Order: sequence, then structure tokens, then C-alpha cells
Amino acid sequence: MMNNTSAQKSKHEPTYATLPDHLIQENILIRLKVKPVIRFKCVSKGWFSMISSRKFAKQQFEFQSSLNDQTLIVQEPQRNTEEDKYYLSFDENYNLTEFVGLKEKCLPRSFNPLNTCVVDYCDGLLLMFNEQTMRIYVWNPVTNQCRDTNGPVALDKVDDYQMKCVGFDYVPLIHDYKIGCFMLYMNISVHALMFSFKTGLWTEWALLDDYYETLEIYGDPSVFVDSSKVFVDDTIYWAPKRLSNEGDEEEIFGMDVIAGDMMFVPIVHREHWETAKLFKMNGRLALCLIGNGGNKTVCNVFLMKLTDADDGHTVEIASWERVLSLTYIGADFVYLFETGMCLVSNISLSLSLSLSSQFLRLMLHELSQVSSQEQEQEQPDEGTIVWESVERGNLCRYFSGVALGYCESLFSPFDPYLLQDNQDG
Amino acid sequence: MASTSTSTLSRKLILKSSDGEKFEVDENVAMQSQTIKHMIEDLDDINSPIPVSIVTGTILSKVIEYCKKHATEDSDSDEQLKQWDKEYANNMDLNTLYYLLLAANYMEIKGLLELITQCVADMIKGKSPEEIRAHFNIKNDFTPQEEANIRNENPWAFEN
Repeated sequence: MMNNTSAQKSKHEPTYATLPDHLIQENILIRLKVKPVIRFKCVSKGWFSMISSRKFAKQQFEFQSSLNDQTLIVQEPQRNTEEDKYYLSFDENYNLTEFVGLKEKCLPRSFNPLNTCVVDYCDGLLLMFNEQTMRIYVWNPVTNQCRDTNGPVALDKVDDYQMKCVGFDYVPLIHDYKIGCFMLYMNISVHALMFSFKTGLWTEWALLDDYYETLEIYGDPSVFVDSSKVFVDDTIYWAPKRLSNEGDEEEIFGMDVIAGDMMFVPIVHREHWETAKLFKMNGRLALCLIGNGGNKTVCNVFLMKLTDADDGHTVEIASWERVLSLTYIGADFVYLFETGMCLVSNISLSLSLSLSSQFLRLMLHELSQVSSQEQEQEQPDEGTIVWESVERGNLCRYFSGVALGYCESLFSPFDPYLLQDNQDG
Repeated sequence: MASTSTSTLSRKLILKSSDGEKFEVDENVAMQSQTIKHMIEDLDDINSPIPVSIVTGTILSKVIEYCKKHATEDSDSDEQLKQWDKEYANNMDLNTLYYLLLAANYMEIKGLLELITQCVADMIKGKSPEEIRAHFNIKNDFTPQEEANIRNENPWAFEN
């Protein structure tokens, strides 16, 4: 309707009210996603410099990140030599708007994308890990800017180490981005290392030999990067990917990136579960425990609550509160949105086609609130199909890894100078 | 001195547009404009018309329509108000929308400014650079080579 009006008008009445540049930039363009903004760089020189400016990148990023995150990166857990990273984007009504390989968007110049996987995300930046060289990079696929951390270990020592966990986030209190990781050294000790954007250095702060056995059980090292992680209140938490099934008490462990403290939180064994995934909801750590019961799957979401111990020590005690629950039919739990909606992948055989091809579906479900007396949900939730494919069914592997919430941004705070902003505040 | 903002709801103000048109409005309607709010604070005689110097009568009447709707908070749910906002913005032609945007910016009416800018953003998000130039009446000052270079940097952004 609007387009018609404007098309007609432009013939008869070519002069519009002219909008000042600052109104266009600060009030209109920041409301656009990255894709149209990049396209509009070639409107004119004025728009090019407006959109390329650091100020605009920051404003646009701040506006976009205040919206609900509805963009994900999914990747295959068992990486091979093909492209394995996909980008999914939803509009505010959860209609799928983009589903493309990351390589269609951008080919990194600074590292080989084939051996490098996405291990974490923060503020439009992807944390990339090369499994062969054990090198960690921070990459903005939109601007193709990349920061090589030159670590965590020197190339000639790679064979002595085994990477267990990596996490990455912004710490508002110290205006810095931190990368934290745990590594096993020669199968004898555990090392915790941290990288600071400000100093550009990796530092080791603790030898954690006491935790060697705990960390060692954290699954197959080749799939460590698929362990689910989330950053809440200056602490990066990791969950074991699969339950060990040996009756051991499973733990989530966390690293406080300011104080350098380690934290271990037991997972409640309320019922049978097989997979644990971590997300963030309302600023709190959300734990999804997922288990199969017959032909249906049950997912329960718990929020972590930290309370100070009574004895006055600084140690905090964690407890879990079950808040959401879902019974569904599907293969893999892909992602929990902050709104309480979730994505599940589902494979079903197609009966209508002569070939016994498989359908792969991506389903959207709404989790239901849990009240204390409520009965377990008996009937599986049907959900709605957001995406469907009959392509050999092998795309499903992308949904069995860890999906990361992601927000495209033009903002790449690699320049240490950028982190000085508001430092005194 | 603080009595201006706490007095009864029935107090009336007169707003005068750039082309001399006068509008009598309830104080709480006019006070949604931060600019007018500040003007009243400095004003001795609130019975004299308040000049809204860059806004024409046609536009000002639309601004007042919005402010009236949003001054009576109790009657509608958020959902209804959103629906009203949507229809309000959709009924404007482009030129009115731009003048309204300028007025909302000048009069500092946050809600209206957000509504209109989001509406313009939604209109332009799917457009090509050529359409944007026509839309905002902008001259392309790139050489063909320069423009091609920018397009080649992020070809995915130019696909639909």
C-alpha cells in the first residue's frame, strides 16, 4: 500500500520532506538488521560513511541486541571437510526468514574454515576453534574482521594438550571480553587459561589437579566443543554433554572470569534424563534436562538460584527450580528461546513417496509453565513446523550439535581503544 | 511553580501551528510533548496560544490525534493500542509520515517518534539501494567502479 503511494507520488510530486541525516541514522537505520544496512552502504558516500562509522555500528548493535534473539548458528557435531555451519534467522512471529550456510555469507580470510568450528558467541562475534592447531580466533562474519588470539598454546606444544571447554563473553564490570578454557595437559593435570581483549594475552591462573577426574569424564574429547555453555553473572558455565550413566553425581562447572574461582553445581537427578543443555532466561542460568520415555521426549527446564550460605562465608549455594516443561515427539532439542519457545528437530518417514525418503522437520514448541501440583503432561505437544525438507534427511546432523543464539552486528571491538569507553563509569 | 503539572486534568491549552491554526487540547494531552512541557514551565500565562513553530495545522492535528489516544491509558489494553498505532501509521501517505516524523522529533514525543521511525524502517528494509535513493531523494555520488567494489564485499546482502 505504502509502496503504491510512494510510486505514484514520485511521478507527480517529486519533492518530499527531507529528513535530516541524523534522524535517518539514529532513528531509522538502527532499526534495520545488518543485511539491509550493508546493502544501503552503496546508496551514497554520505550513507557509506554513516553506516561504516563505529558510532553507528555500536548504536545499531545496542538496538538490535535489546530485541529478542531469534537468530541461531547450528553446526554438525562430527565435523568433516564440508561446510558445516548454518545460519538460521526468525522474525518476531518465529517464521523462518533465512536458512543459509555461513560460507554463503562470508569466507574468512584469516583462518581455514574447514577445520575450524564455532565454539561460542558474544555480541555479534563468533569464537572459532581450529581443532588441528588448537588456535582460537574471534571472528565477525559480517565485517570479516578477525582477531587471532595466538593461543591458548604454542604450536609446538599442541600435542601435549587436550581442549576440554571453551567459553567467551563480555564482562561489563571490567569492560572487557574474556575467553576462558580448560585443558588437560599430558593426561596428568588440568589447566585453566583466560584471554583478555584488553591485554591481548593468555594468562594461566590455576592448576586444577584436584578436578582432573571430574573434567576427564567430560566425554569424548573430539566432541568437547558441543558441550553446552552459557555465561551468567560473570561466570561461564559448562554442562556435560551426556549423562555418564554410572550413577555418578553429574555436575555443571563454572569459571568466574573476574575472580578466577571455580564452581561446581550438582545437577538434580529428579528423573531419567540423557542430555543436559544450558541456556539463559531472564538473566538466569537455565538448565534443560532432556530424556526419552518410550516414543516421546520430555524436557524440563530448571532455573538456578544462588543463595549465600548461612555460615557467613562467601560460598554460595545453588539450587534448582523447575519452571517449564514440554513433552514432544522429536529427535533433538535444538534451542530454547528466552520467550519460552523452543526448536526441536524431528525426523519422520515419508509415506506418500515411493522412495522411503526421510522428512526432516524443524518444529517450534511452546513450553508450559510448571506449577507444583500439576500432573505431568500426558499428550505430546504437536508444535508447528517452521521448516521441512525431504533432502536425504542428512541435514538433520546440523541440529544435533549445539545451537548458538547469535545476533549479526557490524560492531567488532577488537581495537583495545574501544574497550576504554566508560571505563571510569 | 510546580502547580502547573499537578493541577486538574480539565485544564486546557491552546496550540498554534506554523500556519496560524489553533487547537484547544487538554493539558495532559499536550504534555506528552516534552518540548511543550518545558515551554509551559517557563510560561506565565497559559491562556495565551503556545506556538509550535515548524508544524503545520494538518500535521499538528494528526499529532494531537495520537497524543489524545495515548493520554487515556486506562481505556485500552496494550494490544488494542498497538493495533490502533498500526492503523494510524498505515493511513498516512509517505509525505505526511515524514512531516510527522519531523514534528515528533521537534516536539519530543518519544512514542510517536518510535512508531513512525519503525514504520519507515519497515518500509525500506526490503528495498534496493536504487529504490532508497529514489525514496529519500538522494544522489548517487559513487563511480560505477566504487559501487561495484562495495557490492562485491558482501554479495549476500544484495540477494533476496
